[in-house]
Amino acid sequence: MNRNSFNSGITRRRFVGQMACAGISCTPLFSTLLNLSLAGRAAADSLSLDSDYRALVCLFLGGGNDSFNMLVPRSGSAYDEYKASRQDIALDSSTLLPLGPSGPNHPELGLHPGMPELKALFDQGQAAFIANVGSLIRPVTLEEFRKETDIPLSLFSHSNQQQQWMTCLPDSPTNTGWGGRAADLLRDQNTGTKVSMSISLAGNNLFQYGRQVFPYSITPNGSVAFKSLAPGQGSPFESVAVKSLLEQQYKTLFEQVYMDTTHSAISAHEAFSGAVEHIDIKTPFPDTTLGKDLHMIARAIAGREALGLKRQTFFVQRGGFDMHAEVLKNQETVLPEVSQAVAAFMTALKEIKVADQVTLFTASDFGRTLTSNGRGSDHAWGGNHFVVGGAVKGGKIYGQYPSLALKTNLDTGQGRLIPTMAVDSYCAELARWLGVPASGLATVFPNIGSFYSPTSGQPPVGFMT
Amino acid sequence: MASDSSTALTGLPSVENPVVSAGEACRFLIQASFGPTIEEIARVQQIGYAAWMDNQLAQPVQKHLPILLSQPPEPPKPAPAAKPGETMKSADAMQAPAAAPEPLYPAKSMDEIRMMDARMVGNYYNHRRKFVWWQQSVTATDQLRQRVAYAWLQLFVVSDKDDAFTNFTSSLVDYYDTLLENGLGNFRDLLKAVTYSYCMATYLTYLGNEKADPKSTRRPDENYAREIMQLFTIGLYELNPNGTPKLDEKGQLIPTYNNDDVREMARVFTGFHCTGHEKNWLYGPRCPLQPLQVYAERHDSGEKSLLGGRKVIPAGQPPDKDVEDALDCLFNHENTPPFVSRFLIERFTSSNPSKEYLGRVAKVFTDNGKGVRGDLTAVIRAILLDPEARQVGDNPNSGKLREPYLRLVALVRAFNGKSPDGMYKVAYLNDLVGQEPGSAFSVFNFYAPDYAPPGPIAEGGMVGPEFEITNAVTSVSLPNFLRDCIYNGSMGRWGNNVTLDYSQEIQLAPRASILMDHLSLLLTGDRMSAETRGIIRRAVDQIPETQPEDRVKLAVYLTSICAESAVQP
Repeated sequence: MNRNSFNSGITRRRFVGQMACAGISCTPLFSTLLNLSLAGRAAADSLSLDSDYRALVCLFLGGGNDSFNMLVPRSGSAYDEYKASRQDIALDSSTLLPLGPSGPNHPELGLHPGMPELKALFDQGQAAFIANVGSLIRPVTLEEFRKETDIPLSLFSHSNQQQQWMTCLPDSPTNTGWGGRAADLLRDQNTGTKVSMSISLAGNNLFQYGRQVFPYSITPNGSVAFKSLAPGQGSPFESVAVKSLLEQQYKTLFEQVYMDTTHSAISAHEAFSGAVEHIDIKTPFPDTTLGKDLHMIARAIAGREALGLKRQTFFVQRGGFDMHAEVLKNQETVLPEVSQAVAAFMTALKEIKVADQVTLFTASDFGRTLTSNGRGSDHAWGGNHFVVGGAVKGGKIYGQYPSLALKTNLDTGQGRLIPTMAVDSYCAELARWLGVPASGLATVFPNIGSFYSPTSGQPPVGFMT
Repeated sequence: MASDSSTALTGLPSVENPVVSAGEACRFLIQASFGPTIEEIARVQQIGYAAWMDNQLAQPVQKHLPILLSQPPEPPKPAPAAKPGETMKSADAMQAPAAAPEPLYPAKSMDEIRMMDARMVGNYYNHRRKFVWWQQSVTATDQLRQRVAYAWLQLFVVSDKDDAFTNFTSSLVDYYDTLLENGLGNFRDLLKAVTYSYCMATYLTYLGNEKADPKSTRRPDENYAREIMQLFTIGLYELNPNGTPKLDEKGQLIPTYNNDDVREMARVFTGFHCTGHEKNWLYGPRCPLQPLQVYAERHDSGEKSLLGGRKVIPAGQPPDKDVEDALDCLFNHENTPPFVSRFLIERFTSSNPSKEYLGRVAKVFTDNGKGVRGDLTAVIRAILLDPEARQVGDNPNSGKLREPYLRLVALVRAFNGKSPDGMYKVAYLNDLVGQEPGSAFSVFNFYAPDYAPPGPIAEGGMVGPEFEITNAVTSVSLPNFLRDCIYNGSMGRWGNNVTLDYSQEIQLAPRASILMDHLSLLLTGDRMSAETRGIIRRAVDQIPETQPEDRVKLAVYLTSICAESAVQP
């Protein structure tokens, strides 16, 4: 790079994260678009954190996980039903990893053979499975489904179902997610922070959009520095010019929003990299994209005190679950990857002594048809999920594991099962653990009243301590 | 009109009696091509927009596959060395490492190559497809057609992220050529070509799809049936001719299809496979460079009632007729013109067209004025020549955020990008900018057509799809990458990068205001505000005139990252 000709004596101004109110619109909401830190918080607050830190990690399995091949009946008539429905894509019962005895709500179940690490966490009481979860506006019967009464919009469509898992509003499209709405309520606990409490390894995502809090995107290597402004890189007049361009008032809305996004990224990077750069986690992670993503999340969690964060959400995605063409072979690749990365993450959380304070949970567009189209399966509805963390009441199966025979009163056709637990209940349990008060649950989950009464004093499901 | 003498001072050729100003020409070329060049600006000024488009349509189709196949494939891996204690077999020991095989084309014709066994077509790694894409997008003279194909790849998405394409790079390149050949023809033909393509059948998993088996629980794969409706033709909700959604008596959106419709439609897309699978359905030969066949024995030829009875396909028809009937049903659906028109407008001119603009374009899709439905040349003309696209009004909400990838290509075109060794070696930039052609993460493309970043855009009821890939990572890594490229004088990070030529600009460097006029035209369509211009000029003026190259690089960099470069009005 030809920079010898530039004067390298640089005075570097600092961005503090307080934005001048942009010329287009000075509504408080607009300024919070820029607000990857909290508006109006005194930066000088000293951070006296006690050990009360909590974070949720949403692991989104993109495409619709074939989760009746992940959590599988392993014996007896329950297995026979599974085998009869799934035929060529059924797993052999002898290969399934046993998950304990049967219970009132489930038969003897086994885990896909590629997930021994997840089984080990289950056996240690740090992982639990939640059966047959899916989007619902309210509980519906097969009859009501056939009449299309109060069923989620565009069931079986990827984009809509991904959104509905993120918004928990299957009856009306919205542009906030439940993670963002929870963050809006909890942001007061993060005094003096200079970055968003909602961190994403997968870019902009609806799950983390709130009204005041928005996702902050980082890479598996952390946040990205703007070269023109980095010490020793840009010349003084280059960095002055860049700052002036960033601080300008623009005539068109799109220009303003674009530059504000850049401006915010720069401020957040200063804070984030300062807190996290030097953090080293000794636990080895698998050399996969998911492994790297979870490794970065562990580092970010380790930097939470410097960032001034007591409540957080993280969002990470792994695609490739839309197994229309081939279920068995594809699962042999992707499920071990998930199991190994999640197990490494748990080990890292123990290393940095926050194992009880972080909970990872899966989400996915939907489960898949019990019947096959040959070697693959198609879009369905209810599916199985898992949660991992020290605060999980693990070693158990929650929810109602359905019969996997065809043509039951849950089967809407081809083995697409009506969920026996709403996403709302599953996620309300997580939000409640994160710290959303009972009085706030209806704000975060507007339909929760169809499934659970926040004033009941009982947990929605009971898998968190 | 007098000659536009001001252009002579900005480093652009002066044009006698220009039809449009240089600024207007640049703005048009940002919409209609991969970016303005000095020559194209002059041409548009000389002949105007409509004649430029005619001229473009008369250019030969500049395909990508012949270029790929005329370049040597990767050499086969050499025989492994003997392990310690083993004697290498004498035959292996005498075998020299294999040289790169000869390219197939033009020694063999394209027709011959298409009939060859797929494994003999040659091993091209995925980046080779991207190199050819860059070469054509930068240098091909049929810019409009190339730009249109690039847009169609974001509707009829196939992606190299699917492992199935690992050894079939040539098929992905051929798919792009399908979009080039049909992209400005008739939408019905384009839809058929896509449906019969090896790539789409692989990506949306209907290659080898069979009719239901009454003895087992197997039934047809529904993937293509759903996505051809949701993403390629009618969308999820009923639309008025101007693209606004229809509402029922309760004020709710009206779905265009339900799950039963998907199941029925899935029965149509059964029996598709490569030629030569009569005797071996599952493991017959691959034919990635040939259109697919529909095998009657594997196709569901029963009666099918599509879209709740809108079209009933009788039993017993030849399979291809079933497919034609289904494609006709979707093509003729009243949603298709506004749905497809909105997609195209978003890719070329505006994220938030007025409903009148959208309605005008959709009307041309419905009937091009000569009784033909689906005339894509007429539709693209309507999009680019509409007053709403040509006039920069006072509407602060007009225009769109430019696709970041297009800004990179435009930079290379603006500075006469050349390859040092014949290949335009640019690839794998998607982690920096959030997109790369042919590498989407799913059939839903890089961004949703109705994505609205939270804040004033969403609150104003507007959308900005490209903001979906604009986040704290990409909003910094894109300017960083531009900086590296501009200061290095080359695009890419592969090595043997495409060179950028600043010689014209270096001549203008001593006079910063003229340099700024020139760059404002080339890189922002003459949209740079006085304030932006002042900021950049002040920085450039700090560099002595004895360092014209440094002045130019700083000016180019700051211009390429300013808001007016990022947003097209």
